[in-house]
Amino acid sequence: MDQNKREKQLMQKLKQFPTIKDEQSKTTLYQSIENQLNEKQASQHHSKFKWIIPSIASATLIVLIIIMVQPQWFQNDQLSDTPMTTQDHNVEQKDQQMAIMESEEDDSDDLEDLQGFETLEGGERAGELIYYHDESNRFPIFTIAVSDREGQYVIPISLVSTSSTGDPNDYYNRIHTFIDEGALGVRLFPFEDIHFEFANQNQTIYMTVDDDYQFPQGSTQAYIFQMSINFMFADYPATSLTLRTESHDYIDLGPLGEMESLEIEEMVHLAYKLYQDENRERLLVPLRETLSGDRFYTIDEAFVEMQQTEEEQNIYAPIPIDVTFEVDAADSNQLKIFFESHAEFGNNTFTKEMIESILMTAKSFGFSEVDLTIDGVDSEISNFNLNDPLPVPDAVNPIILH
Amino acid sequence: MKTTFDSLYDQYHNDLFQYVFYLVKNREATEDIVQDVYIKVLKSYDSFRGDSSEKTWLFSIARHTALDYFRKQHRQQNRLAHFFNKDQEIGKLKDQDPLPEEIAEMNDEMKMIYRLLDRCTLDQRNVLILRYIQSLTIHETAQVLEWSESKVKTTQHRAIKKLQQLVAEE
Repeated sequence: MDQNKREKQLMQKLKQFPTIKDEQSKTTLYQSIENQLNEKQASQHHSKFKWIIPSIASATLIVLIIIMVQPQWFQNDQLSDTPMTTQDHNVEQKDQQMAIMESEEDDSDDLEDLQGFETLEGGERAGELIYYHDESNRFPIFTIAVSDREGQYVIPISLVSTSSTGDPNDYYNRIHTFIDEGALGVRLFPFEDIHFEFANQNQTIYMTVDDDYQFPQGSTQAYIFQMSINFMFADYPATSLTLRTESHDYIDLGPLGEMESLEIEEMVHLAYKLYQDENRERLLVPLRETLSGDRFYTIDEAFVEMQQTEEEQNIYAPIPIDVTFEVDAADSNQLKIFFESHAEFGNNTFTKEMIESILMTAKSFGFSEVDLTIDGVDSEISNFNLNDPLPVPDAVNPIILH
Repeated sequence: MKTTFDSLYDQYHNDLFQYVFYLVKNREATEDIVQDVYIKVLKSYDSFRGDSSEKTWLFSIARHTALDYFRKQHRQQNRLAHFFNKDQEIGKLKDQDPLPEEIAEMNDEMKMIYRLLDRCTLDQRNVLILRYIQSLTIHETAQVLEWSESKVKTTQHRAIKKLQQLVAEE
């Protein structure tokens, strides 16, 4: 057979290669595309108004004050055991412990003293989904972030540094050492490939990677990364990350493209729900929108979302779906909520966690305190005294560092 | 936006998916790339001037997006090579993806040609896929690749010769 004939046969064979069809549906594909486009549009929208949001300005100011005034006595942090208690919706309760990465001894008693939590009915110890500054020591707090197992939701984790330099450079460059993914039932973005540098009184945050850095593959990674960055750095004066490699002033962020800077989006108007992977730790997970993709414009909408359980996603409703409640948000400083009685309400972990999630949600809507009334229960629930308005917490999902 | 997507999808999606798949030979990567292509296209659709056909414009964006994928893959392989500290591991990494069902059902010669496509240059592969598997004309292929038609013809000629040589060596 001559050469020409063989080549023509080869061309014919190439033409016979089969059609390879996409297995995902048109609807699924469009949904993914729309989500990504909305994410980017939302980012642009937020940038226009970011500086005028009083709540964020206040939070930024608080963090600045903390960083500026806190003394820099200590050199090394160690992560303590942070005891938490979990409970399913049948009020089955068991003690669990937070992640331990660098701890050599159990400092749980110290933490209990620090938080002042009391024993609940039934003798179990209360867990901490939220954190208040100690009155005598306002320890620096550094927010890092993880995602749920499925990579759908980003969960902020607050590192409370009781003895440290207070320098964020010391914390954000070893994020992976603070999180035990297995113990928490979460996933951590591979931050170990990234170096963060805080400069110019934290008004500039550099993100530096190697020249051959490759952004993790998969479309959800970009979302997880952006949301993690938002939670981690929204309280700093910097409004964007300055991106660079060893030799370029940009970073290839995979689906986000080559970028010189990445905007830090404010995280407000959130609905805090409970996340628990199997029997692991319970964490508060903030949702920015409903399952159908609608943002929460009022806190009432967030509370309605907080009544929805998504068991397949390990997301649980902190507010019972069949409870009646009234919300008065007329006072921009103090939120008033009245709950009618419900079988699950009492001095128990369920009610305590509901209060914690409500307080964090209220904080994200800019409220400073919550006047909470629950019909049919005593005014004391765990360490919360409902006779007085409850201040919103200083941090969520705390891990105490020593 | 939905209307534009519907129109593009209904007209070109099968061809687009197939083109990207034969380039990258990985279904998951293809899905990601195709998704990125639509995002880029939808974001810039208003600025599409119509100098080329919609289809060649779409394919051209797909080509660039796939090229980015290869660059990233190359960097990752470099990193892995550094990790393993032995270059021979790279070759093994390349053929990890299993044959797609549609190809696995074909005869051995077709499977062999499918594998040997990897040993052509990316330019040669682009021309072979666009011209023979996608049945684009010389003119359309030139538009997608942003080449002259004569370069398409030359590359096509060399690609067929290279592939024929590889088949003969097997």
